[in-house]
Formats: sequence, structure tokens, C-alpha cells
Amino acid sequence: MKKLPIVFVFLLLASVGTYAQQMVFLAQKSKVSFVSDAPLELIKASSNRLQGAIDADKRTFAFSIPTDSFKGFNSPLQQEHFYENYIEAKAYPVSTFEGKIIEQVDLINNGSYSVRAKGKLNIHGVEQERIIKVQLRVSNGVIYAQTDFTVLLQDHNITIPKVVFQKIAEEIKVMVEVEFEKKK
Amino acid sequence: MPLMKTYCSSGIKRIKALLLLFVFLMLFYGVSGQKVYFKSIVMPDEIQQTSITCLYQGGNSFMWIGTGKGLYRLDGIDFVYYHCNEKQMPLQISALYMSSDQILWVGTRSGSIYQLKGDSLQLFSPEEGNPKVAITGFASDKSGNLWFSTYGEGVYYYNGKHIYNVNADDGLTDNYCYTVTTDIQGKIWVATDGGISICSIESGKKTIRKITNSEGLPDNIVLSLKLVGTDIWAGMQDAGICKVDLKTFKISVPLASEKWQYGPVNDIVDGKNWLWLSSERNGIIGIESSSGSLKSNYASYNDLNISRISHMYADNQGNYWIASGSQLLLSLGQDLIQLNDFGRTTGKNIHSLLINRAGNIWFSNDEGLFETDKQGKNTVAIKLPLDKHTHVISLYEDDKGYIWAGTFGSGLFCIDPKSKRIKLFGERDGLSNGNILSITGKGNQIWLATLGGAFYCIESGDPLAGSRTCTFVNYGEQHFPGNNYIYSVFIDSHNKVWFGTDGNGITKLENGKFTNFDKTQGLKSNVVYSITEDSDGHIWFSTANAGLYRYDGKLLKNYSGENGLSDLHITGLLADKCHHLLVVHNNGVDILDTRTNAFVYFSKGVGMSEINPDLNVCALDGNDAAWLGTQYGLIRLQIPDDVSTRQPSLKLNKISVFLGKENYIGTHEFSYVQNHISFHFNAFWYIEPELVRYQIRLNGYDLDWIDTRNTLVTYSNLSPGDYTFEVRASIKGNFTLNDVKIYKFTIQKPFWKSTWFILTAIIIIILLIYLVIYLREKSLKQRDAIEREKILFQFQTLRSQVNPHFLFNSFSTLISIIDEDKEVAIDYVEKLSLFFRNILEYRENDLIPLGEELKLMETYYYLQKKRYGENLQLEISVSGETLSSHIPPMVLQMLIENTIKHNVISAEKPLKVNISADENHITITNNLQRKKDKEPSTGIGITNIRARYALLGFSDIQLASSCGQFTVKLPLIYSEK
Repeated sequence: MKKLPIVFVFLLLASVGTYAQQMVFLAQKSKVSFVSDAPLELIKASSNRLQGAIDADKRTFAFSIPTDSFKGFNSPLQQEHFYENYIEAKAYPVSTFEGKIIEQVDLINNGSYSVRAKGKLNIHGVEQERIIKVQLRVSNGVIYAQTDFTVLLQDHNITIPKVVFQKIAEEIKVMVEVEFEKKK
Repeated sequence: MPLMKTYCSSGIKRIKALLLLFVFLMLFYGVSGQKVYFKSIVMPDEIQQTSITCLYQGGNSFMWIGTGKGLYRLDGIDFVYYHCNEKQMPLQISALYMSSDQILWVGTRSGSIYQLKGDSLQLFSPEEGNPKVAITGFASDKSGNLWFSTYGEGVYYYNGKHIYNVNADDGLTDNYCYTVTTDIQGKIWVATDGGISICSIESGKKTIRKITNSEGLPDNIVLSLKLVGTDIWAGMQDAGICKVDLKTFKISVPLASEKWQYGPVNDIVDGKNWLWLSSERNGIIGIESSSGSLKSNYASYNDLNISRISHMYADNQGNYWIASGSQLLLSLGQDLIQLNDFGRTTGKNIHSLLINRAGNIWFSNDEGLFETDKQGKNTVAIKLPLDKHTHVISLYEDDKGYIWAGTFGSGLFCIDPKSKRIKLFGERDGLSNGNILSITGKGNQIWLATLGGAFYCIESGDPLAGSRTCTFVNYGEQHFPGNNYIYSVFIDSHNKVWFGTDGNGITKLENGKFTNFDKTQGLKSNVVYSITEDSDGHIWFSTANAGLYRYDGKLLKNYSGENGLSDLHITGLLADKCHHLLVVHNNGVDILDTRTNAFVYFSKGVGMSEINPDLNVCALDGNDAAWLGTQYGLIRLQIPDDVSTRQPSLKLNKISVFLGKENYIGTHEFSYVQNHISFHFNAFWYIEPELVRYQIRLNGYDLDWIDTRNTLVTYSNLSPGDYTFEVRASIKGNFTLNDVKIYKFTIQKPFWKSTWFILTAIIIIILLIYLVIYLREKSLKQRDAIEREKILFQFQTLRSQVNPHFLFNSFSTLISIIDEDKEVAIDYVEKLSLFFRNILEYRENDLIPLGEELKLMETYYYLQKKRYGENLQLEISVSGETLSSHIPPMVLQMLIENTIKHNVISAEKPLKVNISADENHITITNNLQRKKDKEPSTGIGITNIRARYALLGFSDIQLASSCGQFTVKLPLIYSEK
């Protein structure tokens, strides 16, 4: 099961095309964290197991993260609830985001760019098209990406039992930092 | 959107269009002599050279004008610039839209979107960020999503939380979009470089339907879209316009587009039966929507080139706004046109006018009599045997279709419009006066108004046949005594004939009987020029300088300036079938709704200044349009069907306190310090904004309405109370028909005037008074007590001092001294007398200085010493500051006396008294050796001392007896305490 995300990325890379391989950047270091700031409970967790790639030529991208890789919950109970009741990590082992950058941006040149990534965000098995605003910094073939966005639980059919609705925010904030390196 | 136009038109296309331009200009002049009135709006200085990019009227009120240098708001007269908080530089506005929640959305060329909130533009910054390319349009779909099109990134929609994108990857025809619009099903139509895309979102799923070349779209570059009725019209780059049926998606190309020569269609405006197209190179193009044929084209206005129209907008008052470069123009479009070029004649100085049942226009001017069609084309001159100074001044079509033309001095002509045969009627036909001012008729009757009374004849068959077809009968002097000049003759629906006379008022002929209405019936003028009958059967007539009269069969009612007439020099009256009365005067037309008495004016604001129409030179055509003959030519005015509602729309915009920025609309309670209240209001009447007048009244402050032209009124120093602010607006000053905007508010009383405060204050004051009285009572009682105590004390002291025992002892001592030493005896007596004098002296005082008391004490001790010798020893150790402190008089003497009284004094047991003082106390100590047989107490003593100290407010008198010592400790009183 845990190998699935990797397979996913490679499938994507294959679809991106082999002839333009020198333009593909792979995620090296990453940190994905989320915050649910509900009135009664603050849930915070993070993962560093994001995998993904950007094709600078076509401005397409694909990312994947195992849903059970999040650590740092307040308590083991909270973590268990998160995995079993809400994100249902067994049924939906990965969350993905794939699509295309709207802006005509050239990721070969050094510089900072604010771009919008339009793509399909798949969480909890429900796909939603989203635009995610990303700050990119290109420095000598390394791309640093930083973004934060919100996920509406309702959009992804994540239902919250009435008893705990004050413990989980309807809107989850997600923060992502990724470092990409050109694929060799 | 005009700004983007250059990107998409290829060089070849441009050249082709330039070649065609010449041909087109020729066409333009050939097409018509029609002129549309344009009013140029003077833009603020700072944007005189800046292009106007978009126009939008929000909520039937303000006009919003987007320019290359920011957003402006126009109320008709004043421009207001709206700055943006985040940016110093003016925004390059590219799209405007007001959503149903009354928020104005502002799109810019840079892709940023702003929302107008309060007085400033605030950047709309969703989580997803703003586009990086120009915003070209906004629209709302049926689910309430706000869509906006961009030039390069496709379209976006905003559902209130997130922004989503639809672009070529999703199936959009192209990412370069020019505009968006909503159809009647709430779907979004996007005009792109690749055709039209119809987008809808159903439960998060995008559905896009394409209309492109392959669906029959003549040109894939679609620049403009407009919902007209149930169809969408599309304006294209090269192929003109086309109509898309919403059900079948069938595309139809109107006649006008078949060989389109007018360049890109930037914008389409729905003008009721017309479509107005903004063309990129050939000005404004008018298309008749029913036939789809090109009817008019305006590429210049005065000397202004308006060939490039970027944007047009139809407001709620029937005006068309036209943006051409940096020019902003206002027009009534086809509702008001002027025809002054008929090919054969200029059409100036029109003397008579007739529209016959065939719809042709007959008019006469200095050059003769002409027949033309409604476009002013195909003009035919009717040759009449007249010298060039004699003109036709009246025209009539009888029920057989013959045209009757009355001349000024040369009799009456009858014309067959088909064969153009002519017959002159003159004196031999009984027409003794050849100055025919007015002709009317009914059935086979012909009536004439002349300068020699009225004439009447009955046509017998073809008036042009034979010699004596009509014999005129004169109604002259006997019916119009004094002055038989008749200006007009009119037959009403009940076959009564009405004559407007010069000096006899109005005369009615009914069943052979003449009835006259003149000054004796209350007319203000006896000169009647024009007569007509409205659709409700009332007779209306105009007088010289006394306005208009309405006769309902019983009563005459006068209408003048107060009733809303803008000009009393009335030259003609027209009544249509929809209870409208048109009052023609030197400066235009007042249209009166005869049922509601509401007026709409077409005057200077639409270019009708000093039009100088001849008497009764006006006519109605079959399409509810009025035609006027003026010195400049013919004017065709479409009678609005909304006279009663086409009034200035009034809005109360803002309420400010102390002229501050904050808007208090919605606040109805103001505190007593917020009593400086300003009301900002506007009535919108764009065609002639300077005519708008206001009346305001603050109920509770003003007694009556106050007339003003200001759009701001400030009330300062309003006293607390309930108020109702009322404002109403009108064009000419007839306010009674117009809506009143009402705003109720209260200025609260200051807290010190509120009931609870007054009650509390009264209670507190009563309590205070009670307290003062109580304290005073108490202190008086206290003073009484002191007085009483003092008197008692004095009495007792005196009594004690004249205690016979003391005297006896003193005298015994004295006797023994006299024998021994005379000198000492004298001294003793002196001391005794000093002692008594001091007692008398001090008894009045409440306090005496400690020093004085000690002196008295010493005197007393001297007297006692003579008696007891060394057996009584007094030691005083008081000095310095403490001597200036005070104690009640004779307290020490009394204590010593007590000591002497109660203790054994002998050689073996001498009594030692010690007086010492610290800062606050004086201490009297003696060795305790009580007598066995007690002397009777005089009642003076510690109790008395205690009482006196208590009255002075001191209570710490300490008595102690220990180790054979008796100590009394008394407080010292300092005067400053």
C-alpha cells in the first residue's frame, strides 16, 4: 500500500513524457502540514513524505502524499480518529494534486514567481478542481515552492459527526513547502 | 474590449477595412439626412486625454465610468474619482459590474480585481490570487457564481469562497476572451478568439458548449455578446453580427451583416426595436432588430470624429452612452432625430407639416411644397403656381386621401397625391379670404381658419373634377365679432367644431350654435392658437402667454409654469391615443401624461433650443412619433411610453455626522453630540442634469418645503427629538408627482436631560439637604452641650474656688504669715487675688495656652505651698514647643486640687506632684497616699475633664495607678489642628 504514491508519481512522469526529461523537477525535501482550528480543539500534523514532479516545459505537475504519513497529533487518540474516521487512510491511502500552472512562467531562470496552479485536488477519494496560489523561487536549478491553501471538508465528502463538529474546523488550512531538483 | 482589439486583428484585415472606408463614407451621406442628437459630456481635466474603457449604471442611479486612469462616478453633473487604498497609481479599469448584492466589481488591465466598499476600492484577494492578464467582463450565472473573463487565461468563476478557472484545457474555445454575458437560462456565454463558449456549472462539473465556424458562426473572433429578448446577438471581428437562437442554437445572420464593411463590432446595445453597434472604425451603427437591416450610421458628431466606438451603454432613462476614445457622448438614439437634408431641399424653415395615411411626409418651406418618406429619401417637389414669397402654411388630408394646402394670401389648393393634379380654390368658390391658417375636416366637410373668419364646405365627389366642387360658406364678423382672425379650427370626436381666435378666446360650434369662451369665462388670454382633444375626450387649447387650458365639458382648467409647463410660448398641441399631450414650444416639447399630470421634457438638453416652430407645424405618425417642423428642419420624437415613470430617480446616498467620512445610512438614533447631520442625495436625470431641482423638509425643524439645487443639506445643532427628513426631486419644479424619500431619525436627549437622571439627581439633592440639616442640627446640639458644660464647669469651678474650706485654709495661712512677715503676707494676698482674677479671666475660654495654665498652676501652688511647706512638692518640666499648645483652662489646677484633697500630705509623707509633657500629651503624676477619711467630692474632677475633652473631640484621657503612682495623661491641643 505504501508504495502506491511512488507508483502514482512514476505513472505521471511517464505521461509527462520521456523526451523532455531534462525539464522535469522532482520533489526532494518537503513539508506538508495542516491545521484544523476548531473552537474546541486545535489539530495540527505534518508529513514530509510528499512526492511529486513539475514539468517546467509543459508547466504541468503532479503531487502525491500518503494520507497516513501525518505525524505530530496531540494524542494517539486524535491521530486514530483522524485516520479512521475522517481521512479514512485505509480506503484512501493517498491525496493527490495534479494539473497545470496557469501563468506562462519559465522555471529555468532564477527568480521569484507567484504562480497559480490549476489542478485536480484529490482528498478522501473526492476530486475537486482547485486553483492554488504558489510562491516559487528558482535558484540554480532548484525550485523552492511554498503555498498555503484551505480545504473545505464538505468539498471532499468528509463528514464530521455532530458531536465533534466543534472539534474539527470545516475549513482545514494546509501549508506546503517543497524543494525540487532537476531530474538527472 | 477595445484595449485588446489590436492584438487580434491581422494586418491584412486592417488594410481591407481601410479601403472600404471611403466607400462607406459615401454610403453614409447617401443613406440619410438623419441626424441623431449627441450630447458631449465634458470629462474632468485629468482624464481629458484618457480613453474611456467601460460604462456601467449601478442600481438605476450613478453612472460608473472606467478609464485608463481610474474609476469615476457621475451623478449627471459631478465626477467623483475613486482611489484605491493599496495603489497610488490610478488603475487601468477594463471592466465594471454590479452584482445583486450591490457590490461594484472593478476589473483592471493588470488582472487585479477590486470591489468598491464605502468610498474606496479594495483589492479583491481570494486565496487563489488574481489573474495576471486583463479582466474583460463580468457576469452572474443562475447559481449566483460571479464569472469574469480574461484576455489570456480563459474565464474564472467565484462561488463566494473559491475561484475556479475554465480555460482551453477544459474545452473553452480560446483563452483570449473579450466578454461574458448571461442568457435567460442563467448560462454564461463567453466571447473568445475561437468562437463562443456557453458554460455552466452543474454540481461542480463544467459543461461547455461551443459555437464556432463549424456550427455556422461566420467569424470565430467574437468581440461582443448581448442578450436581446431571448436571443443572444454576437458581434464579430469581420463578419458583423449574428443572432443565436437559445433553444436551437441556430445561427442567423441579418441582412446587414451579409456584406459587412464596417469593421469589428466592439459592443452591442439593445435599443428597443434597434440594435446599436459600436464599430471599431465606422462609428455607431443602427440595425433594425426586426428586419436585421442597417438603418443608420453615425461616424461623426459636429466636427468630432467618433468613428471608433469602444463601448456603449443603455441607461434606465432611455439614454445611450457612447465611449469613443476619450469622448463620452449621450444620445437618445433613434428616439430623437433631425432630418434637414432632403436632397432637393434643405428642409429649413418648415411652414407646414402633414403625415398622410400612407405614411408619407408632406411639408412646405420657403422653397415650396414637398412630399417625402420617413427617412427623408425620395423627396418629390409639388409644383404649385405660387410666387416665391407665398408659402403653403397649412396642410390637411381629407378622408379620400386628397391633400389640401392652404397658402398665405393665395387661396387653397387641393392635390391628388397620386397624379399630382392640382386645383386652386379662391374667391369664385366663396373663399373670400386667401390666408388659410388651418384646415381640418370630417367626412366630406372641409373647415378652414383664415384671417377672414372660418369657412366651411361640403365636398361633392372628386374635388378636382369639374369646376365648382366645393362652395365655401363663411362664418365671419357675426360669429367672431370685432376680430375675425381665426388661428385654428378643430373638429372633436362629437363633431363639435372649435375655433381658436385672435381676441375672442375659443368658440365652439355645436348643432349650428356658437358658444364662446373668453375672459368672461375666466380665460387669462383671449388669443387661442392651437386646439386638440386627448384620448379621454377632453379639449385642450393653448393661449398666447397664458398657458394651456383643459376643458372637460364643464370646467376650464389652466396649466401654466406652476403645473410644469416649461415654456408658455406654445406653438402647437398634439394628443396621442395613450393620454399624452405634446406641447410644442420654442425650446422643444413638453409631454404631459393627461391622467397623471406628469411631464417629460425634451428641450435644450437634447439640442432643441430656439427651434422656432411655426404655428401648428406638428404632426403624429402611426408609430407614436411626433414630428415637428422647425427652422432647422424636421424633428422626429418618439413619444416615450413611460412618461409617468420616466422621472428623475432619487436616491439618498449618504448621511454624515459633522461632515465625516462615515456613512450613517441605516442609523436612526443619534446621540445628542451627533446633532450636526448632513444628508447627501441625488436625483439622476442624465440628459439634462442641470434641470433637476430638489425640495427638502425636515419635519420637526422646517415648517415647509425648501427649494434647493444642492445635493447636500446640513442641519446643525439639532435639539433632541424626533425628526423626519424628506427630499423630493423634479425636473421643472412640479414636485407633487414625484416620490418622496423619507428618513426618520431621533436625536437622543443628553443623559442629564433623561428622566432617570433627573429623578436620581433630585433624590441625591434631597439627601444632601437632609444631611446638611442633620449635621447642622448635630453641631448646634454639640455647641449647646459645650456651652452648657462650660457654664456648669465655670459655676462649679467658681464654687470650688470659693469653697469655704479653701478660703478658710487660705486665710489661716494668711494670718500665720501676717505675724511672721508682713511682706510675704502682702505677696500672698496679691497671689490669691491674682489667682481669682485668672479664674475669672479664663473661665470664658474653651482653651488656653499651656504656658498660661502653668502660670496659673504656679500661682495656685504658691498659695498651697504657704500652707503645706515642703510637704507639697511640685515639679514642672515642660518647655519649648509644647508651651504653645493648648489645654482647657484650669484642668491642671483642678487635678492638683484633687490630688491635695485625696492624699495625705505630711512631713513623713510629702506629696510629690510631677508635671511633664511630651509632644502630644501632658502627664501629671503624684505618689499615691490616700487619706483614710475621704473629703466629700465636689463633683469636679476627672469626669468633668473627660466631658470637656470629649466636647472638643478628644477622648484619650488616660488614668493609671501603679507602683504607688497615680498618673493622668491629657492630650495637648495644637491650634492648627
